[in-house]
Amino acid sequence: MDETIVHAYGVVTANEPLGRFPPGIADTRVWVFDAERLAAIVSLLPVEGFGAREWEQNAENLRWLAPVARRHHEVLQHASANVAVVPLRLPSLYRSVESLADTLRSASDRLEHELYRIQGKREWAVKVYRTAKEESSTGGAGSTTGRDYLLARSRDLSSRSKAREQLQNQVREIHDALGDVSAEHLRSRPQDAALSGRKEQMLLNGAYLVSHADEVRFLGLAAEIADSSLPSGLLVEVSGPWPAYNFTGEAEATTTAVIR
Amino acid sequence: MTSDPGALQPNRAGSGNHLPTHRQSDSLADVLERVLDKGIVIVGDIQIRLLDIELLTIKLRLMVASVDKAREMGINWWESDEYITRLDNGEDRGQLDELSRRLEALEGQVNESPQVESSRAGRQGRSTGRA
Repeated sequence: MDETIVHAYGVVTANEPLGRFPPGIADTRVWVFDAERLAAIVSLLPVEGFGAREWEQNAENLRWLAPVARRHHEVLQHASANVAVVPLRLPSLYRSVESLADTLRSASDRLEHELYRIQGKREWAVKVYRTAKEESSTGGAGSTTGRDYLLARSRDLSSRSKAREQLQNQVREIHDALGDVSAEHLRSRPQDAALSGRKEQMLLNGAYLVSHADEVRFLGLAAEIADSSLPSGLLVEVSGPWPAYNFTGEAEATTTAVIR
Repeated sequence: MTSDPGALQPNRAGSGNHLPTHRQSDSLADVLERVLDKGIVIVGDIQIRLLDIELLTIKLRLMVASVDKAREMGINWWESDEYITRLDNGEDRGQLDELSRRLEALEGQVNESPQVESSRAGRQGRSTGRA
């Protein structure tokens, strides 16, 4: 058999019912590897094609990267439909399941903490787009004198900056209102229009960790907000549930030193 | 509660009966943003020398930001996987080369312009060869 490498998708509590996984990266079989109280979702990949060298060479090659990312996500999506899963960031390679088990053991406090944190909750994403264009400037058109022109121009500028501020406040209120129904919430940098695939400017790229008990309320509120925001030129879009990508590993900066 | 991939659209949800559910297929952009930039990092026995994964995600964003025209040319990998599929068929090599060239050019720009550096650029958990 060709040499293989372990790809770890995510970490779960040991002995959880996970059902039958979809195919992993490169159509490999996905299984669960127990390491005491924790377990890793893994598959064995051929070193040739998915080893460290390939990552170094292909990390910016979308043709290679996209299917890898997609499969990684699909496996996590499947698992997180049933149980709490800590997603591992790509790349996530181990020489053997034994070395992975060692790693899990040495990071077990942190991993168990993360699992506890997301237990019984799911991540939802809410994006807010601005549908209306900024009010076009009158540019002082129709002014008869230079003074009139300057006055009109300055009124115009100040009303536009006011409108922008209002919009920002509105988005902040939306985020806060959704956050009130969530266990945790955060804002990511809005995606560029080309990346989001939308013409509209993204104003909010929010993530919300919502407990099962509050889910109906959260989604109901999101629906309400979507309805009430539309007249003011905001399009609200909900997606999810997602694996808890945004609510795991946040404390990394302070803990990395410990596990290194 | 299934159907609608578009999540909440206005005026349908007023009754509260229509709850948004998971999309049939999450957008590739959303997936890339998450699997490369979020989630936990635990350092194992293989650490990969990537320039910087975070830099990569920034570059991806810059790249797609710079290829508005690509959409007109039919390049829309951030909207669906179709582009990837087509590339797999070996048809659009030229487009792929063009994207790669842009990526390289942008790499230079990223290196030169400090303002695009992420606030978390100091994050660790990658780099260096094998332990």
